[in-house]
Amino acid sequence: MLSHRNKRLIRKFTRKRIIIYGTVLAVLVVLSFFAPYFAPYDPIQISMEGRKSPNVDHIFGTDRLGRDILSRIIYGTKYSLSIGIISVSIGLVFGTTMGVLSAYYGGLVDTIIMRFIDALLAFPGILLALVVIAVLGPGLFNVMLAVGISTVPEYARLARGKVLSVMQLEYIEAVHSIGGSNIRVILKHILPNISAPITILATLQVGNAILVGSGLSFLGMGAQPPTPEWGLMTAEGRNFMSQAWWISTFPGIAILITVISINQFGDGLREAIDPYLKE
Amino acid sequence: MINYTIKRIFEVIPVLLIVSIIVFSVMHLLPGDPTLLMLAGAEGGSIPQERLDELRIIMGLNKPLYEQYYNFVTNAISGDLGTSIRLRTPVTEILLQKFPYTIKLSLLGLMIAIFLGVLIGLVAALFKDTWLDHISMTFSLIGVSMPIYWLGLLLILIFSINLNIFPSSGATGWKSIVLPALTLGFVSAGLISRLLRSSLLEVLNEDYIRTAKGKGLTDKIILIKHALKNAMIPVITILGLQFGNMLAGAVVTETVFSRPGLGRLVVNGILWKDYPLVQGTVLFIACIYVLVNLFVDISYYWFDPRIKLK
Amino acid sequence: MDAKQIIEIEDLQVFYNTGSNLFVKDNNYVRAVDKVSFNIFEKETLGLVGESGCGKSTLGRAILNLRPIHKGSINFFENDQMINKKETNRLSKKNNQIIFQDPFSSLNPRMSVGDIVKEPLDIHTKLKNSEKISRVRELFEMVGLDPGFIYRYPHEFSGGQRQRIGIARAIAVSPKFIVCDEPISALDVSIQVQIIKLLKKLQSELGLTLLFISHDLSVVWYIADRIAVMYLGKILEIGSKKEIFQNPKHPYTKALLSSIPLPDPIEERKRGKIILEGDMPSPTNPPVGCVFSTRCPNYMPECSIGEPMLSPKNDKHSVACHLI
Repeated sequence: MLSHRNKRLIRKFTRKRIIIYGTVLAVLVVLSFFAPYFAPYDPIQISMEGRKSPNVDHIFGTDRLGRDILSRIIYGTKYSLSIGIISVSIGLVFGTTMGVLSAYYGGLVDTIIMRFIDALLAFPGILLALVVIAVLGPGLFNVMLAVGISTVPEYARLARGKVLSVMQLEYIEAVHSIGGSNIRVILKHILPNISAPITILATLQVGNAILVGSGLSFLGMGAQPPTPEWGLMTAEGRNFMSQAWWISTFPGIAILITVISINQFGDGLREAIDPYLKE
Repeated sequence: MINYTIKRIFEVIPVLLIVSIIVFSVMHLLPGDPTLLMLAGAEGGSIPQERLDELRIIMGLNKPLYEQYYNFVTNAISGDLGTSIRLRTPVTEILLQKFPYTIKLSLLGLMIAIFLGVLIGLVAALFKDTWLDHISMTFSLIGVSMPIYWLGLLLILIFSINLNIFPSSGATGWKSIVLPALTLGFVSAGLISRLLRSSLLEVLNEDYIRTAKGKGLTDKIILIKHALKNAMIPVITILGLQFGNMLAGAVVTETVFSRPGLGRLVVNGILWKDYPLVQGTVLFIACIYVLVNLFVDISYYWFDPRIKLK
Repeated sequence: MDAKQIIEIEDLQVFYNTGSNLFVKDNNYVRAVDKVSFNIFEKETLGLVGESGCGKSTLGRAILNLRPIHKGSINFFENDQMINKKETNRLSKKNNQIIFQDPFSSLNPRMSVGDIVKEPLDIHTKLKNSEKISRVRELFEMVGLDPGFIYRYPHEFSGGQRQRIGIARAIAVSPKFIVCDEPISALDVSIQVQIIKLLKKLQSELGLTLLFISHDLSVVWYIADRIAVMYLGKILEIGSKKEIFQNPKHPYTKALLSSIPLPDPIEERKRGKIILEGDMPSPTNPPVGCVFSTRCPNYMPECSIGEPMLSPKNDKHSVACHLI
């Protein structure tokens, strides 16, 4: 019933790494959808009592407005996960399209697109995202767009390289010989054959997108108060490090755990899918 | 060799051109009237239309776009990047004053990154599969998975507030650069250590090394030195990229540690809506990065004979 | 041979530009096909032989419009009437197909073999899906494959089976003309025989016209009716199989024929082999005059002046050589 190949795959997916981190991620996803059921307090409920250190009532303490940190972290899960997924999706779609068109049509199109990509790469890391924010203004969605745009060059380069090597293969010429249109070649023959490395790149990017995105929020360019976004929360506790270390520390731990889980899960997935893939 | 250099320089020019177009567009894609923003920031209250029009003409905003762009580029090449709205000083002056801080920080961060990264990667590879390896790799995993700003804050918490060894802000004295540089370097170190570990393992597996493994200690050290040299090649390849990461990381790090520098200028510029400042700083940073990469490429070409044959 | 011609090629030139881009203009052309003229007749198999790099693959693909033509014309005929350019473009993909040499790179690894063979039907017909699938099964049977395999993937098949799939794809929309680009060169010898026999069978069953490209004269002997000999972008000799094998006129043809091993070792030792010296010159820089002049054992000074044309100008047996 199941082909030999599928049986092997299933065996690999039950490896330790995937299970452990997959579970963590599953928990995070559940938290992002069902935050109200898990959070002990209302995340934006201000209390006159001000900041409190971690105690029995508030496991992670409260911030300077008396809001429970644990609840805020739970509610903030969805923002971080969204930033990761949506940014990467934006980058993937635009970047892959550019790379595919560049490689397929070649010539002037290729030169122009690739020079543009080179120019985007001239802005190191977060700087490109900052430029986009400068134009669009602060806000959570703008952060996703900004981070997405900053990931476009990597996809474009990867897609272009893979498409160029696929185009050397005869089955591409075969489609032309039977009368297939360019669209057919790109959609049915090129894209399926480059989807694996592109997907792998995407899994590598999600964690980084969350780091950059929350960084933008930390700088005040992303989510705005009172949104319980983890980067923003870290920024809010910045001036109280000596009096109330917990305000900044716990949101950071949350980001750390999330990104580690995503990276390790992605690593495990990649090993399962293609153990011969060399980095 | 010269041919390659010239070719690379020629390739860089259209890139810089496009960069300048992108940067130029920042100011002109903005919603709202830049003159209004400028004056509202400086003088407050409602401004008579004639003042706005006057300023438009002074700033040259009434000219066609391509002419504005041309002026922008020619000015930039001759060193005029406009004037900061908020600080009322020429942007170029501000940049020249602040950029040494960022460069110092970036270079120190890079050195720490290489030192830490190579050390950890080396240890991990040599003691592969032992607890030392696992700890090292956990270290790097944490390094690449943690937000830089958070690491900065943690270091402040531990070393400034609790231990009082290093200051948490400012740029006076050598002590003030330690924590920021560590913050910057740590993330990169994580990346470098992983890369070095796998690269070194690959080199160490090669046959000629295995046959030599039977020899004594001093020979082993020579062996390791030699293997290390080969294994460093992929690390050196990404050096230019890592420098870019330093520049990017500086943006956040300078903010966390309240250090003057280019990163801080960009962030503040955006928050103040001081667009000439943002424009000039971003252009400056991008150009530095492009030139550094160009330099790295050319010198790498010089050192590695295999590339010459391509 | 009074058969109708279906393809007429006149003074065809297919050149490749090497290494020029926006900034650097390179005047080095690869003269892959250099002023070639011949006809292909209905239901015949024309063998096109030559060594690697002589341009035969390029010629085959150019006929199918898979390579840009520099100069010259390729005209298609139906019932002795020339089909005009617009009609040609429309019908061409349906009527003219190709079978590739490499069974491993000519099938999309991500598509089921059934889908691969179905694709021409998707493009050219408006049949219902169920009808297409039964046609695919029919095609599988025609090429000697179990129709139950249509949901499998290319990597599950051997080289010979993959070639059969490639053949099924080529005949899917009932073409009239098929370019066979060294279809058996990449296969084991025992499989080669099976595939060649299959091609011959299909040709007679479906009334196909074939352009059979190969570097192996013994294979061509089996399947071709006429043979054209190509070298460095030019046709040096063309004629019926009997004529070429029994009465070769061009020195190059003679050399090629002498390299076919005879089954009888005594006969083999008795006959004198013609061994050519040197390598084929670069197609970017062909010799002046006759392209074969640098290696021809019968070389005379007039061979370097002026190019010999194919004569006599009929299709029974023509040769391009000054010494004839």
